[in-house]
Parts: sequence; structure tokens; C-alpha cells
Amino acid sequence: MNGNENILSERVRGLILDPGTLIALSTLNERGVPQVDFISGLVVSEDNQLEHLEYSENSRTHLRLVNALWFGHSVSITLRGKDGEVFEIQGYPRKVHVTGALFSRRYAEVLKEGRSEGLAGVWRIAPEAVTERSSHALDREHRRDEPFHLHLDAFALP
Amino acid sequence: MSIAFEKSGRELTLSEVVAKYPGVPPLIILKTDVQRRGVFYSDRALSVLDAARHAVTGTHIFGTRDGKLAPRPESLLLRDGTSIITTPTPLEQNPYIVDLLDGNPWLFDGGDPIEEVEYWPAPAYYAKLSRSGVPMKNIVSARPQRLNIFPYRYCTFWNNAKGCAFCDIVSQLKKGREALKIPARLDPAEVAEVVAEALKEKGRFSTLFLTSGSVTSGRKKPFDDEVDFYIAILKEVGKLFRTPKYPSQIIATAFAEDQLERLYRETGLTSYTADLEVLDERLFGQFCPGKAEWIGYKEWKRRLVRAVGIFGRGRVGTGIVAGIELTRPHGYASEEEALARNLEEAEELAEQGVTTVYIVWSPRPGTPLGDQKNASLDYYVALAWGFHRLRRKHNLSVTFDDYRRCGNHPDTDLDRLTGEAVQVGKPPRGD
Repeated sequence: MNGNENILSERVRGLILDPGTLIALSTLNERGVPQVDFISGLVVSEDNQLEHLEYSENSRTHLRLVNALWFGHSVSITLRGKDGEVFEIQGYPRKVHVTGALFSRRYAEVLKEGRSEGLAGVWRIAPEAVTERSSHALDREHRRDEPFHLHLDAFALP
Repeated sequence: MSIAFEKSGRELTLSEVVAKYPGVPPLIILKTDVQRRGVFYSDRALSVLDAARHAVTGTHIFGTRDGKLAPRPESLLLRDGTSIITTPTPLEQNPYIVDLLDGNPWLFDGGDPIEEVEYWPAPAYYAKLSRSGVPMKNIVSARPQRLNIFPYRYCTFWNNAKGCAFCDIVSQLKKGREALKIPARLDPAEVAEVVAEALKEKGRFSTLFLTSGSVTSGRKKPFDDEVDFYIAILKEVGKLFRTPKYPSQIIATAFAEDQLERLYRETGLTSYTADLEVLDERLFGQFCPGKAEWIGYKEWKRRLVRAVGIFGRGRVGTGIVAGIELTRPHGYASEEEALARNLEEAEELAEQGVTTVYIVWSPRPGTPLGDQKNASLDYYVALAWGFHRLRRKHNLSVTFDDYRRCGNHPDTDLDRLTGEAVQVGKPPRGD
């Protein structure tokens, strides 16, 4: 899909903006083992890309994103809101800005927020697909689509 | 490590080399090939070059592959944040072409778009003049995250025609002095003035770098004058920092131990590099006659090792100009032999805490080796992988000379491969 197409709904954007949302970035290492890191500093850019602000040059997340970019692997970002709603965004790391206008702007914002360690890079991640993974939504779908997976008492009158 | 290179005399293509080394990022292999073959900027690519926004050629201590001084992009940035440090190259040498795709610069080969690139951004201070009226960029130049200081743009090894066989520092000095009014020798106070201005742009720079030509003169011993000048500049610049040490690198002559001690104790310098240029005593004597005459290959290496005792492991390096070791008539007969010899010497240094990095040799016009070709892409990738593995094996950090601080070493780009890639990832075929 076109990376500029807006596939991030208002609900998803709201979750990203909410400081109470838990954000996990999942990558695969070279042996195919999944690794999950909890991250902060995720924003949606004006052109509907995800921007991950990476604060540490030697963080595992940073290195994993570099390796995903190098070898063309996708990553997944899971958002879990305060109310339990969960969304999973699949995307590709396209570019890391370590200098230039975008980096300078984000660096200034980070300093303004009082993060004295500064910024190592601004990752641009192109979202490819968004799936709702909230348990109540999954349950609803499940009941609708796969009645044979349930026990009969679930259908019985009280 | 033994690697089998193509025997037919045909060089492997970019895609064949990518397939041969599945553990090496294709983007780094491409970067290496672009450094190897050079670039040619189309008129359209130059039409979007804006000196107010981009770093433009002319400030560097070394010249270009086409021998011209003209406004072109200083170098290129890749999507992974690393740089391709390359020089404009004549079309007849089959360089990559930088042209536009949808209005943005891309690398093209054979008419096909290969990879998007960015021109290096110009820092804000480039628009300013120093107090003596010199453009600040001619005093301190910039890479994407590094401030470059070239205190003295002359090398006294050339006084008796014993400069390095690949080097064009003196002819570049003449061109720069005449065409751009770049001072040959910098004023330490003026350097500090420019660095102070550069530091106002927050987040723009992560290290400070100094290099000069060698200066054999000295009050008590050879090279004292070179050491004194570095110290003078570093002390002046050091006044701008709140800590006694600050991220910095020097590429200099291999100094004697007391000179290294002074350099470390009296300044904020945090890393030290003295380039051997080639990892073989016979070839060192052939290609670096000045270095051989004044210091010698074995003593150069001893001084590097002594520097580890002063600057620390992972803070001392040496660089080679990879490819000159294969030139005729003095070089190795095969790439296998050259690779094996390079890795053997680099391992001996690594065991003693000295890291070895390479740059891809760009044959420059007017130099003794200028009419020869550099090595195959296959060779350069094997060398990058080999140096990288040595650092991992000997637990040597190279952050002072990595993709961000420097950007000119394909081998240090691999430092960002995650640990598992080195320990259990697929090695290049033949490894």
C-alpha cells in the first residue's frame, strides 16, 4: 500500500497520543526468536507515518530496527490502552534520521521535555496494516464467525 | 578466515556479492560499491543542490576523483543513517549516477534507480564568517554528526618527495588556497570561535575530529611541532566544554610515547588514530616512504600499542587505504593473499587493543597510483566482514570511528549488526 495512505484510525491515533498507553515493539532476531521491547516516544507524523524517537544509540530497539531495515523485515507495534483495548500495527522501518531538519526539530522537542540525554535517531516506520486485538472485540468476532468453537451451554437459556 | 574469490577474472556484480554474503546488510554492500566506483551527479541532481541547505564540496583536505573543484554535494546520506563518502568521478570510469526520482536524489546504475539518498545537510554556521572574515566552513567543516578540523593542510613528507603514493593533500592545498581562500594553517582561537558557533545547533554534532599532514620538525624531537599544534587547538576548543574530556578523534602521525602522553594529559582528546595505510612492511616502505623513513613500520605499530596504554582499549585505531595493496607492480598477486595478510596483521594489532579500519581507496589524479584500479567489491566486503569479526572476537569497541562519528568505513558500519548475527548468523560463504 501507499505509505502515505492513512490507515491509522482516530482511535489508534488517540491511543498513541495517550501517555497511559503501553506500547510494545516486536522484532525478530537473526535466529527468528521474537523480542519485545516496551518503548516510549511514538508519534504519528503529518504524513501518517509512525515516528519512533530513539533516545539511546546502543539500545536493543535501535539495533533491531537497523537490522530490520537492513534485511527488509517488518516489525509490529502493539498498543494497549488504559481501558484494555489493544491494536497491533504492522510496519516496515524505512529510514532513521540522525541529522537534518526532522532530527533537529525532534531533538529540540526532547530537550524541551527535559530529557537531557537527547536523541539518537528518529525512526520512520511505514504502517502496513492495523488489526484490533482487544479481547472483547476478538470474542465478539469469534462468537459470530466460529460458533462451533463454543460449548453448547454458551447458547443455552439461563 | 579464507574466502574464495572469483577465479575467472570476472568481478562479481553487486547482486552476486549480496547473495554471497547473506550476513552483510545489502545497503552496506551498496555503499561500499558506490565508494569503490564513485558517483557522477547529473545536471538534474545538481539543480536541487542548495548551498544554503546542503554541504557542498571544497572544504576537504583531500581532492576529488575527477580532479575538479566545483560545487557538488559533499557526500550522501543513506536511509540507515550512514554516509557514503565518495567523490565525483568521471563518467568514463563507470560510476553510479546520482539523478532525481520524483524530485528526490537517488542512486542509479544502468539507468535503474537503486536507492534513495540525501545530500549532507549544511550546518547553520556554514553561512557565517569568522572574525577574520573567512567563511567558517573553511575553518571547520562538517559531516552529518562530526566537526572536521584540519589544522595544517600540508605534509612535510612531501618536502623530499616521500609523500604517500595515494595522497593528493599538497595539490589539494594549492587548489583550496587559490580557489577558495582556505587557510593552510589554522588559528586555534579562530577554530574555537567556529566550534562555539557550531555547538549552538543542538544535536547537530556528536564528535570533534582533527587531522593534518605530518610535520617532521620539532624542538626536541621529530613531530613535536605537529603535537604542539594539535595541543594548542584542542586546548582552545576544550575551553568550550564543561568536562575535561569530550568525544573527539585525531588522525595523526604515530607519535612517541611522551608525545602521546602530552596529547592525552593536556587536552580533552578521547581517541587516537595513526594510519598505517597498508598492513605490510614491504608495501609500507613502497607506498609510504616518508612514514617509513621517519618512523618505520614496526615502530609505527609499537607506538599504536603504546597508545592503548594511554587512551585505552577501544580508543586507538589505525586505518588502511584498502586496495593499494593490490596495485602493480609491488602489490599482492591475488585478493586472497591480500585479505589473508590484512587479517593476520589486523589480528596481531587487535590482540593488543588496536582496532583496524579501512577506507575504500579512490584513485586520485596526479598521485603515483592514480591511474590504477581499486579492488573488487567481493574483496572489500570480505575485508569489512573480517575486520568486524576481529573486533567482536577481541571485544574491541569502535564507537569513536563508527557510522555516526565517521561514516567512511564499511567495516565499522557492521558494528550495528546485532550480536547474534556475529555469533551464530550465517557467515559469508567460504568462511
